[in-house]
Amino acid sequence: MATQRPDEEMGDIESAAIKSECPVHDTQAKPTQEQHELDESLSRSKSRQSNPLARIASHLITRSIRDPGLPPDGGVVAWTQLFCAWLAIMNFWGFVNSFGAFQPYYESILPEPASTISWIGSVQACLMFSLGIITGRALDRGWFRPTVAVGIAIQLLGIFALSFSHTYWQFLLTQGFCTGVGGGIFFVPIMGLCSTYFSTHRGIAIGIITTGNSLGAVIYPVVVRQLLGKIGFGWTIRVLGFLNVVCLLIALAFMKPRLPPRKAGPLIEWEAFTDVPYCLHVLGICCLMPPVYCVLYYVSEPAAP
Amino acid sequence: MNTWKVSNINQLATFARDVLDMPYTESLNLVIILNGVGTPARILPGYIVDRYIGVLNVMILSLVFNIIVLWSWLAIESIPAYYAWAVAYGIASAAFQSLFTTTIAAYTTDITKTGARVGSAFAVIGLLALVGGPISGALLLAADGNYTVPIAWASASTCVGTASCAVARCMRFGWRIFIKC
Repeated sequence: MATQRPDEEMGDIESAAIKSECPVHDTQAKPTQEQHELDESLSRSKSRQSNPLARIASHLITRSIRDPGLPPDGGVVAWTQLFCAWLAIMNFWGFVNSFGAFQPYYESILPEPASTISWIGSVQACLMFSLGIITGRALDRGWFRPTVAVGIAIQLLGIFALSFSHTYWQFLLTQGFCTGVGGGIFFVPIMGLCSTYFSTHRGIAIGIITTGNSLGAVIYPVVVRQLLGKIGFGWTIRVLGFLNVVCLLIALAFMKPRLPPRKAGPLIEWEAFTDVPYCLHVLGICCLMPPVYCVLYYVSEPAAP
Repeated sequence: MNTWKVSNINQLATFARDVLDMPYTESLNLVIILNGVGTPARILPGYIVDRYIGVLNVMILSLVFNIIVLWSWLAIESIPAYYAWAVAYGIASAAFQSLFTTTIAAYTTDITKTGARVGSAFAVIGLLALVGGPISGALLLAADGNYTVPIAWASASTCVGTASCAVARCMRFGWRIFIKC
């Protein structure tokens, strides 16, 4: 596979595949010469993906991608990926940060103390980061679409289940664990995928994506505060859920992997932990994160009125 | 001073309400401002990174800014000063938060391993994110609601983290200051 058109970009493969769907049916009446050329170009770009199941599978995983060369570092495809990642990050981080708006509400309806209630938000944030060790690998193995689809499904399940919750354990399981697991599954693959499209502009690309974090952290708490008193808890959560449905499905539809899968190697990259500067850097960030969470994450957790 | 309550581990809003007697709704404005000023502060460092001095250098500079702002929290005594502080911290922390994912990727030479490397780092960072909040809550409780202790802890922890990142950068890319990395 690698010997065929190694310079071919992933975008060309996808667009060739998409274009091929319509012409295959319309060209019945066209000259056979054109049909032949079309078939030939199709077979070149899709190699031996002839039966429908294999074609669907090749859309889901990235096995059909050959060496894509250098990152495009711009252009419509790369910026579309960036916008989709921005939507996903705004959704997920907006939801995590709007926990601060839920905290006083939970304090008013639950008998548990405030610090116990705040574990809901902590568990959510922890899972969001920690699951990356598995799902980051799934991105490398070429399972981007199935992974993100599962993550989105679990997160939406958690949000809609949350809208029917009444006790502390229900809130912890739905908002803490379920949405945390869901977001944890799709957060790292989406960020990782987007960064593979950029090289020299990677810094500004990631910067733009994380503005979604800031904006989500402004929009979601305001939505919750405005709606909670008017339409009640259940429908406030469902409004946020429908917002997530739209944004996350846009992200799922338009994001596409660029790099070919890497089959060899274990699930966890232990080699990374023998790289001393890398470890030291990660340890440094470990010292830097708790203060940020102290001030910035709990900042959006308003004190009970 | 003795009326400081430990109702929540919410540092900034609680500090505003307990220490500065700021009303509840006003302390929420502070939260929105802090997140809002973060938006441009997340793009600008990325621009400087790509054009000029490299992601690790910008990250270390932003961390030094973080340290200065965090320690200056101890000097806040009035509401206008607190608003100014929130704007400064919003900028400083947003710069760090937008950069740290890219810095982990910068330590990965093989681009196909970026996903696994960033994922491994996030797994460790996530565990710390889980204990970060309870630590500050416990410190506040142990110090009888004296905010000096958790503030000093947050600032000191940031100093240690900055030193660790700076040493890691020098080990990988050399001890020269003026080098793009």
